[in-house]
Amino acid sequence: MEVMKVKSLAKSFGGLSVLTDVSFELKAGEKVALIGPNGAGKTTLINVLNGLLSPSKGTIHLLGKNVTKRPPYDRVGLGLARSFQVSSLFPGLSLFENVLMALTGVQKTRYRMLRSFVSFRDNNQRVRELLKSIDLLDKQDLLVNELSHGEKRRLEIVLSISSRPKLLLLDEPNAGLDGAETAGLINFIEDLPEDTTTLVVAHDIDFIYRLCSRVLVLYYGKIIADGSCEEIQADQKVRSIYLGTEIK
Amino acid sequence: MDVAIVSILSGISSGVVLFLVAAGLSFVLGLMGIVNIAHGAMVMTGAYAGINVAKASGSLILGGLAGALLSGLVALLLERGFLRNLYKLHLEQILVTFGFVYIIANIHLWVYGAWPLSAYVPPSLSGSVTIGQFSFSVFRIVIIVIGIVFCPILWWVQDRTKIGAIIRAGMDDPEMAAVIGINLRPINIAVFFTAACIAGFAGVIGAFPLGGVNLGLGQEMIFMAIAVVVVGGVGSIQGAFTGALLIGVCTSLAGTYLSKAAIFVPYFLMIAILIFRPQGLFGKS
Amino acid sequence: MKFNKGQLLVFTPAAVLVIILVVAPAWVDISILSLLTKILIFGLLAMSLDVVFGYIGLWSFCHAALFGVAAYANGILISRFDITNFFLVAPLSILAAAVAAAFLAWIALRMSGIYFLLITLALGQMIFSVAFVWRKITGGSQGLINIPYPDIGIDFSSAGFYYFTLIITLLCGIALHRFLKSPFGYSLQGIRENETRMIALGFNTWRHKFIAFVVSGAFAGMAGILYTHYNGIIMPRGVDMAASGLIVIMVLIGGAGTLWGGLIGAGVIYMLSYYVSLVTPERWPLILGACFVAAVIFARGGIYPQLCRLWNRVITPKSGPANPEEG
Repeated sequence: MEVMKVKSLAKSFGGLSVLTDVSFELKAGEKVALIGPNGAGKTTLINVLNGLLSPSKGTIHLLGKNVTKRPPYDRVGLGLARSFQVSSLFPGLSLFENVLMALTGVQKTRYRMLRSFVSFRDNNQRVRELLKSIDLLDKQDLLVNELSHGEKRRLEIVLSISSRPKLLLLDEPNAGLDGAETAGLINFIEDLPEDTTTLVVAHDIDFIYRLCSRVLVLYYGKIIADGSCEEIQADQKVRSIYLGTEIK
Repeated sequence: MDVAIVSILSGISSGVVLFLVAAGLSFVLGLMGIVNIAHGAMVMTGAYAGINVAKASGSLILGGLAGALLSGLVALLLERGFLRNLYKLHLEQILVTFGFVYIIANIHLWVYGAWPLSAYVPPSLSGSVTIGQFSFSVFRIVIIVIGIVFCPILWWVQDRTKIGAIIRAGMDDPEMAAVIGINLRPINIAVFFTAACIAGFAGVIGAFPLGGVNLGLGQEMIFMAIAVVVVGGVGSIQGAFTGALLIGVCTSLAGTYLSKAAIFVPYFLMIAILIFRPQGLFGKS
Repeated sequence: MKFNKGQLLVFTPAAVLVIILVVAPAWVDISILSLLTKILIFGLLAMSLDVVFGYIGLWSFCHAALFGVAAYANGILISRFDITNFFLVAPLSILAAAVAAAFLAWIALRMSGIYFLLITLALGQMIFSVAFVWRKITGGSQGLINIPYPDIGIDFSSAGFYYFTLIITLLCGIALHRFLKSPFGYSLQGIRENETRMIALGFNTWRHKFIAFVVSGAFAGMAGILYTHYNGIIMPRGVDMAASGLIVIMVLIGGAGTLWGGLIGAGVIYMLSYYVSLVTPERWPLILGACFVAAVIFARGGIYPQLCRLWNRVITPKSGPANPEEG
């Protein structure tokens, strides 16, 4: 069974059609890149898959269930997670609280009203593990707005994987990172469980080559190419997009 | 049947007053993002001053102008002295205007005393016409006429003049307006001033349909104005007019046929709009 | 529970304050005792508002109305229906406030920001209108009078009622404190800090906001019940938009998002009111209005965080080289 099946997805804002006809399938464990020129609709597609936007047409199936009309929080419960292109954190809370919040998003604990938030030992343990994996354990009590940009990006990724998702949507995870930080990010993603399906929006070819086995090319609302990295590199259509000649 | 006609006409006259009050609130909200809770107090300021001037001078027009001017000046003081330092801090602006409601009401208590003030009706307009078995005052008809004249003028300014276009641009996208060289600061201040002037004028002529003015007018008016803005939508003349007349007429009819329930009409309309069309009748999504 | 020395030090000011409040009746006269009772009641109301206002960041201007629903329910059950048993009437009144809160939240949560504020302002005023108009049940503008002290089987003196209020307020404060430190309570802060992220992490934020609003309304209701007994009278005038705005100012003065700041804010406002009224009662609204303006311009996060910072500086041992030779 595919982890995600998208059929004829379309999204327009008033008169502007951003996605016109997007269809693809993702299998368990696949690491797929989503590329395309700026403005092609990549973040919009992520927002639609995630549920923050609803499509004008088409269907989305997650692990066999039709989630097209389901709100984002239901999809998270089913195993979907995403990271944001611009780090979306909780600025007034500490790192520890940020990760703890992310953990409880899919737990029944989030409705408990009488026991202290920081008293659940299993959660605390996991928060420390997660912070250790991005090298920020010593800063666990700092507030988010005291972090550097790179540190915030690391926290951003950790927030999105804390629910142990089956499908992870990463929106330009390496935005604004230098070489060393990017290498760290690549290691981090490679260390994720084998069966985690990942869809990464990225521009950097080397980054994509290291991480992904398959590439989807989104061009003005449509998937115009879908294949392995070598196939895509050789594809005439893709080359003309990136080199500038118009597609007829 | 006559009962219905009189009720509807009465509602239209109240609606016109409400329109004049609410239009200003709506534009200030749309353009500056400020909810001026003291806007109702502007109505009261204009009413007290204007009616006293009218009674002393025998001229309603003079009274109306005096009321409008005083309200405008108070608004200017509020904006320049306090609100401009709280740019974009919406909650803070609302609380400051809230405080001013108290301050203005207490000053009025000090200056004018606690007795309610009766409306000024010029002798030439104090008659009434007969509709079936009922009499309907001429003054109310004058108010309706004022509304019929004012509304298209304001609508024309909004849609067909350069200043109207600038104001609408400022409401839509202030940053873009700044980028193309429009200086919104004087426009904002002018709109704020004008809104208060119109509200003050509305207080002078509206005293009659309201049955006189008292110190609670500030609070009463702001709710009705908020209801109009919610129902009609923010930032448009047609929204303010439709919302105001809808509320005015429905309240009047409810008052005639259901008596006590009339006071809840604005709230019911508000709740209905919030459920079925949250942006208001003429608001943008 | 074990406490280390550090924790004991942190709680000392609070403990001292509680001790002062407990022994107060022996030292102060009856009008000051009445003032303290009033501060506790409105402090509880302000704390209930802070749950929504400070912790979620929703600008609710209708809490006086929720307070009023319970106050009126309490008064109506006692004076109109002759049901006086506190343990029967109080839960029913709190339920009434919770239902009103659910209704208001259901409508108002469709909006956010200033529109949420306006809706709650108008809906609160609507409830005020009900109290005004439904004269047979609510007594109209005259209100309900002659409401006695709570019927819990003992005779209340005014000091007795003061202790009753003190105990209930402290218990409610502690309950709210626990509620806000729980996972659910933290989720409210998460919503305030970044609602989109909360949704993307799996939280049904509308549901959380709704539940929090109802809980907040219930505690506001408790304050309303205490108020009817304190005042003996309940009138529409105490539950209008002006009252709701005043509670917001109390929260701001004390510190939004601090919970206990609400008590401090209530203390500031009512002590000021008491002393101003001794000198020039007719000008109190003017001064109150000026308080609104001053609170906005000078509040800077409120009194409570400043006090906490001050106390922390006092109890933190000073470090640094004492003697260069010792290195």
